[in-house]
Amino acid sequence: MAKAAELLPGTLDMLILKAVSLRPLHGYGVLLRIKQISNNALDIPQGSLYPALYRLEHQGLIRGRWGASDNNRKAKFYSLTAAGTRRLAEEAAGWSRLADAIGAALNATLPDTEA
Amino acid sequence: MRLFRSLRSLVAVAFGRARFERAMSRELRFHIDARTDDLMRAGVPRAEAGRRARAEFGGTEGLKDELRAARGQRLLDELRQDTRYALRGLRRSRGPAIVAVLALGIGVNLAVFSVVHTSLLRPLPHPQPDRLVSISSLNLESGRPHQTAPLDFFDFEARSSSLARIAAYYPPGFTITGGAEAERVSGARASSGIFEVLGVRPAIGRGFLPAEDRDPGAYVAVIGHDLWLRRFHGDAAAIGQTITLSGRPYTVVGVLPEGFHSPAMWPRTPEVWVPIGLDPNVGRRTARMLRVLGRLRPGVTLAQANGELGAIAGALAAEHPAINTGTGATVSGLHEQLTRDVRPSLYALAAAVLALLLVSCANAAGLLVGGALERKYEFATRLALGASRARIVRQIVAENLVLGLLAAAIGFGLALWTTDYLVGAATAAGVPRASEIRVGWTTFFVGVLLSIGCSLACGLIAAWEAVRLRDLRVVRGAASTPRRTRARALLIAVEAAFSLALLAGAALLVRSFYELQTTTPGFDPAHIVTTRMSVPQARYPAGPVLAAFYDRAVERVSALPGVESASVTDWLPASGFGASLNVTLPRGAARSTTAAPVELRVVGLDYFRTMRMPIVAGRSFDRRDADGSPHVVAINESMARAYFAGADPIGQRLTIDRGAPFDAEIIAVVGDVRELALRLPAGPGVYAPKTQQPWLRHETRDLVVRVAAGAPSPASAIQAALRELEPDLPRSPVQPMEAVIAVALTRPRFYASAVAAFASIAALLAGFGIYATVASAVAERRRELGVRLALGASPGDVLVRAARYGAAPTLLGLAAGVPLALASGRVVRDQLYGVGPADWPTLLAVVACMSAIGIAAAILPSIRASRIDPAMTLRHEAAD
Repeated sequence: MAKAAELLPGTLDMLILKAVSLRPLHGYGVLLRIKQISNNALDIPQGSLYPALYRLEHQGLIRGRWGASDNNRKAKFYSLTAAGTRRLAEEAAGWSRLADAIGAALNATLPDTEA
Repeated sequence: MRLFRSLRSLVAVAFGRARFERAMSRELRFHIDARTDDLMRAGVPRAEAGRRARAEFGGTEGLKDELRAARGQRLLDELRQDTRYALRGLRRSRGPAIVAVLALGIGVNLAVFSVVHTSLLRPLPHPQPDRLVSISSLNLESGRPHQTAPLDFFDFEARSSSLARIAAYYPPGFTITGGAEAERVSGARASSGIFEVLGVRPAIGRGFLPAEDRDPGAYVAVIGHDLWLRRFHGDAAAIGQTITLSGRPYTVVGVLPEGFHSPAMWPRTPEVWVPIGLDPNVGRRTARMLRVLGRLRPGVTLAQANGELGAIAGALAAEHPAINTGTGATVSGLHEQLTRDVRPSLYALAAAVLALLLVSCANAAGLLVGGALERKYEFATRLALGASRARIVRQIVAENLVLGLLAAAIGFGLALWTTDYLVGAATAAGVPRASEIRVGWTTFFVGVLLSIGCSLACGLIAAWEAVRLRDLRVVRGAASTPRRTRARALLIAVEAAFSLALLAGAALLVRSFYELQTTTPGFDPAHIVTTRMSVPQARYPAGPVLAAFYDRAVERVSALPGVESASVTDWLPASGFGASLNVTLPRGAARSTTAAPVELRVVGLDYFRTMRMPIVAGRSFDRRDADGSPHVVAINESMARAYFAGADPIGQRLTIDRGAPFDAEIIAVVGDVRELALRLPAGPGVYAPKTQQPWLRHETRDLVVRVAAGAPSPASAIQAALRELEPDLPRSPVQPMEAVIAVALTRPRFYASAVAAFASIAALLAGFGIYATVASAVAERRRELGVRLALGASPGDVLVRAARYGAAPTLLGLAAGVPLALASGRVVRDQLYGVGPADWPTLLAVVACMSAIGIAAAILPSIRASRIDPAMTLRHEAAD
């Protein structure tokens, strides 16, 4: 198993939004889904998941609803709101630009101007 | 949008805290359970799986705090904190508190001022109101004024030269019939001078002619503007048309101008005026029934008029010694005469609110002095740098004026806001001209003046305290607060003293009210209903026809289901109205044989039984006492006691003077009833049966009906029965007797509750003032108290020492307040009932109450003093 990557600051919210955008998930499900969609590359510290969920709910980006889990326990399922969908698109676009820029920067070679 | 969301979340948080907590715990538990399941599925044993799941998740309590914060709860908590800071700040910055305290005092004063101004100070709404006078006949023996006999009035009119015009009236009500539904209106039978005296000219048509004064056949009427609109639709052609008044057609000859009203006319401004129409040939010097108004001739003083009318009355007594001996005449200013009854009560009210203003001023001054002391560094520094004292005083007073004017504006708003309530309460309490009460410009200017006065007084006290700080030690911060609290102690004492006086007055009034309320009127008012039968006079002339109508009415009503008995009387008990009679006692009676006025009621046969008045001796009136059979009367116990002194009055004879004297046999002694007013103990009284002459001619129009206990109110059945007898009977409410009596309580209730409210406000203000003073004294002396604690004083010692700043001046003030409280008893003396103006139990109770307030207010802030951490204060000292 590859070593889980450190999460960059600010990316957790985006990952949560992405995770619940596919289908409504409870907190534990968000954790599993992020692991799954990142091919086990990203491991979320359990202590920071719930504050993030609550913050996003407070900001109106996701909405929590109580429902039954797979084994019929009552669980709170989070889903994306319209505002959340917009935010996810913005963040994803922003992230792609940033990733491209950082990738480009890291792959850059020194032009031989001093030669 | 964002704001809205935050707000919504906040509201949800505020209202759903418990639900949120439950949901949060459940969600976290689910997470751990789900993880446990997964671990078990991976082959971990149950116990181990649970343990590992919890360990991975970490502590939940800290997490929950984070979650609460994330959810926005922090916002709420911060909000709560902000509020607390703001409140603390408010307590520090004394401006709002000063404005509130002054506004309360000024507002209450303005409200009462508008009442006092309207009824006592504002001139009557007539031209040259200071020339208007009231003329009364005078019982020279008792010194009491009474109404004037018609012939005396005509003689006054003919012989007086000090009066430019003089007029007489009496106020019968009229029943208007024909056209729309029958209607009862206020009316006056007035002599021709009435409109000139009042200074009003009919808007259309004419007033009365002098010839109509003595012409009983003058069926003309002047009507008020409202009635003109109601009955004639404001048509000028109303002049010359007829209006049916109490069954008789009158020709309308004039309409008064719109808005005319006259507080001079008793009991209210008439809607219908008809000529007095007195037949001069009928011997009418005994019927003292006229109210006489006059207008002084220019240049004539009240004293001159008084002298002249007295002389005329003297001459009349010489000319008609049999009737007029002992009858004088007196002239008083009309305004003064109208307000005579209510004047002491209103002055008491004014005194109460002035005391309240004093308390709120002292309170504001105390707050200001505290504020000035907090700025002592500023002031002391400026003084040290050469600022003049005058400059500092000016600054403080100016700051204060702003606060005072703000308070005046709020107080004016307060008074404006309570106007409707005031008018209602004052009307119910019988304050003259209550309907004219306005909170207007005069009130506003008085408010501004009051506020300027208050701000100057408070500001100067505070400024005086501030400029005494010309001491470099203050600037260095080294000076403690020597003798600083002296001014504030004095202010506390003033507040305590005047609050005590107010409380004492209020307690006496409230006690009087309860005494009055629990007074038994001498009959059983429960289950009695009453209504008035105002039959059209023309169709029911006084005499057998009228008497027969009353008989039929009683008979019909008695037969109604649920009715035990019914009867009639000329005046209901405790209603404030009544008639008196001169009787001559038989030779051999205990007291004397001279004529003496006694209370007279003419009643129906079943009256005593219906009212449940005990018959102490003898028998009730019955069918034997018919017209033509020997005259009989019943007397009350007071009369038996006063005039027969133990001898049996039954069978004795009274000589009754009703123009033609006749003898009547006493057949019964009945229990005393407070006939005239609930607050007046019963005096000697006579009851006469309405079935015999001359009472047969009497209007006994008040129907009293005893309803069986538990039976439904027969009100509508009674009204229907009466209407069936006489369709033109104007609708008159069927009232419980208890409601009639309660009317007598509205006036004392008004004054008692008003003064009690003012006293409570004053006591609260005093408590607040004491609290504030002790609190700031504690704050200023933190170091001193801290040092004491460090040196071994117990928290209890410190508490007592701190509380003393407030408690000592309070007790001093209360001691000084006792004479003030006694004075307030004297101010309300006229309104007391069943309790003296210097009632020691009441006084002790209010002193105890005020002491409790003062001590509680002093101890509360002192508790903080006892909790001072000595180490902290000492370090604070070192840091300074």
